[in-house]
Amino acid sequence: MLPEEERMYELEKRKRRRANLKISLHFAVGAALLVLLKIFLVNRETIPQWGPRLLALGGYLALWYLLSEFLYREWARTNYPDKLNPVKRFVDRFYKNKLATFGLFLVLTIAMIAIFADDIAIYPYEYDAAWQEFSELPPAIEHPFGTLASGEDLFSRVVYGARISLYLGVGVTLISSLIGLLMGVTAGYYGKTVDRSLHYINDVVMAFPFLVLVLVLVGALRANESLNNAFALIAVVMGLDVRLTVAFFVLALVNWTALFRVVRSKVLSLRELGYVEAARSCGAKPRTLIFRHLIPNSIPPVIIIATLAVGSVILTEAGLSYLGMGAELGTPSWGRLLSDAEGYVSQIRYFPLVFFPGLAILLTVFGFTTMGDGLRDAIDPRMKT
Amino acid sequence: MAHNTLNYVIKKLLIAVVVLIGVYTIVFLLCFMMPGDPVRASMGLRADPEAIRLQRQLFGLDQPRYVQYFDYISNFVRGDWGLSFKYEQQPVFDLIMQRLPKTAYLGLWAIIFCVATAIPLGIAASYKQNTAVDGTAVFISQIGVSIPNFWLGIMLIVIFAVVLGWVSPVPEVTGETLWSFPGFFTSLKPYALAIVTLGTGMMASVTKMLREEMLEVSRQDYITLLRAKGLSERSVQLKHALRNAMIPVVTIIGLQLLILVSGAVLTETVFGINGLGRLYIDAVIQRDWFVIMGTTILFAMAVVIVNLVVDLVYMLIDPRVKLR
Repeated sequence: MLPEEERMYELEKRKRRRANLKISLHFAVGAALLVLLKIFLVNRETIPQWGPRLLALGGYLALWYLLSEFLYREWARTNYPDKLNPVKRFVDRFYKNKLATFGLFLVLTIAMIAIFADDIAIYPYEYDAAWQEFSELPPAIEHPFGTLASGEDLFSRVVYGARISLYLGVGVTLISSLIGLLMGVTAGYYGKTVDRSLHYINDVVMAFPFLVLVLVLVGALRANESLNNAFALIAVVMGLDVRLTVAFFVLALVNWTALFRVVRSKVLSLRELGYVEAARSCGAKPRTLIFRHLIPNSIPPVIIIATLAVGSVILTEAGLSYLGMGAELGTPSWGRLLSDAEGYVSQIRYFPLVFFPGLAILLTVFGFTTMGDGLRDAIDPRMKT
Repeated sequence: MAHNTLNYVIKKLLIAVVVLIGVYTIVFLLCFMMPGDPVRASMGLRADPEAIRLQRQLFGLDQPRYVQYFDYISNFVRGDWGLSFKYEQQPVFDLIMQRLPKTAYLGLWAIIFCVATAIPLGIAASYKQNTAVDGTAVFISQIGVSIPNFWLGIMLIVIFAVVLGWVSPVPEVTGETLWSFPGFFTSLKPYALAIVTLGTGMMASVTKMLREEMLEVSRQDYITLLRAKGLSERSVQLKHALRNAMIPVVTIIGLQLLILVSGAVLTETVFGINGLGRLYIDAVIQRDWFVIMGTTILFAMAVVIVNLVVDLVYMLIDPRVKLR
């Protein structure tokens, strides 16, 4: 490089860094203002009515959207002057898939409902004994989905259920993905005996039908007194009830198999590639190889499988709660709401009780599966999941 | 070739046995994490200590753990799967055999339903790629994958049993009728809702997979060659593309057994069918651990055997598969 060119390059770099700093500053100020707006203007105390609260929330979310859109444009303009923007390329490909876009929309909506559950729900989370007189009401303006036998508003319960489902789905997937990723990389990198024994564990776990394994594990853990006391402590920290905590850990413990197999085969193929070979011959330590080359390059399939896994975890949790092995009475898990409504199936008057919790599960899982498939098509259409 | 095949089969069988031992060990360890003394629980708190001692002896629970571990497995091979604590000390093997016909009937028809709907749907979707037909098929399969099957069951009951009154929500047919000649087909009506409930998830994933495989195969050079040779599109799709696309799909259909068992637990609960799934979930709730052990190992055995068969079928229909 000529000295003149180098000087220009340095100047360009400095300019860009300054612009990026400015963007971060804008974001920080904007975010702080929006959070203040949320705290002081959009909440149950300042707007007691449900309708205006939803409107204010909609406006608030629109403001967030405008801020992030504006900042993204700024960022793309300063960092990618031409069509090299990889984010844009990926986003374009993703948005071409209508079903996937709809899935993303669903997931974002459910996430928003979960985050702002307190403002969207009509009644607070804690049970109020005064509600008892509103038992089993049909749908009306005060109770859009009707009420449960205990007098709780079904709409509010379903809204709070979004929190539980997403918390479990995302939390479990994060932990099990980490397990699967580490095991897959270890098996693929070290090979031989390590690979064979990890693969054996995978085979054994795969020999169980998933729900059967989860059920026997939950049953075993719940029957054990001393473990139960430990779980009671963890449950307080995690803000879930004890049975859901048990389900959380069981799911996290057994849900890694798909990821393990994909990461392992990916690492096996990566290991043979030139640049990994080159890094090894330059004397890179195993740690460097694994964390610099193997893990970052197996991230795309991990993201795809994890997105799909969130949906399946939510489904399994709903099934567990429906069978009475998941959420406790009073926890607004969608599966639990459905199993509580079992007695009303034959009475068409109470149709909302059996309809809406299930619809919520369907929409959430649908969002995650279509989004996962869309991600796969956008990242790597040939990948098998 | 023959020698090679035999070696392959033997190797796979050995692996299957080792995996099953692993399964057994895990289940055994888990069952011993369920303390709470099942014998005392089943006999009531006021039971005579002497009677409890005799009862424990009957179940072999007075032996050290490692003796129990080997005793159980040697008895298991001989068909003695222990006694149930809850069901009046019936042998677990008999209990399972009583419940098996219903689940097997449900599962068999669910697989037939899945294959009969998924294959035409998958072919139609790939044949008319990017049209309304394709869009609908993809949409249906995505919904089918995401729908919680117990909720689908409840919705079907509400629509067809409560509102329309066509069928009873609970199919009341005995196990013998299901597997007798006219009963096998006449029981379809009471079981229809349960079969659709159980089959939908499988149908959806097979459709999705078949569509993708067909599209993948259609892009290959030999398909272009067949078209260039002047073969009719029908022949290209059904004779050549489908046969190659079916190879991975066979694996998926085999793997559906895993989903089938998980789904059966939920479907049987929704429809009140007294099958294996119901037996299993009741045993887990009541800590009837000989039943849990027997059923879990049976499920795992079924899965392992089906995987083995799928491997062999795969080898037969795809000559490119390398035997390792």
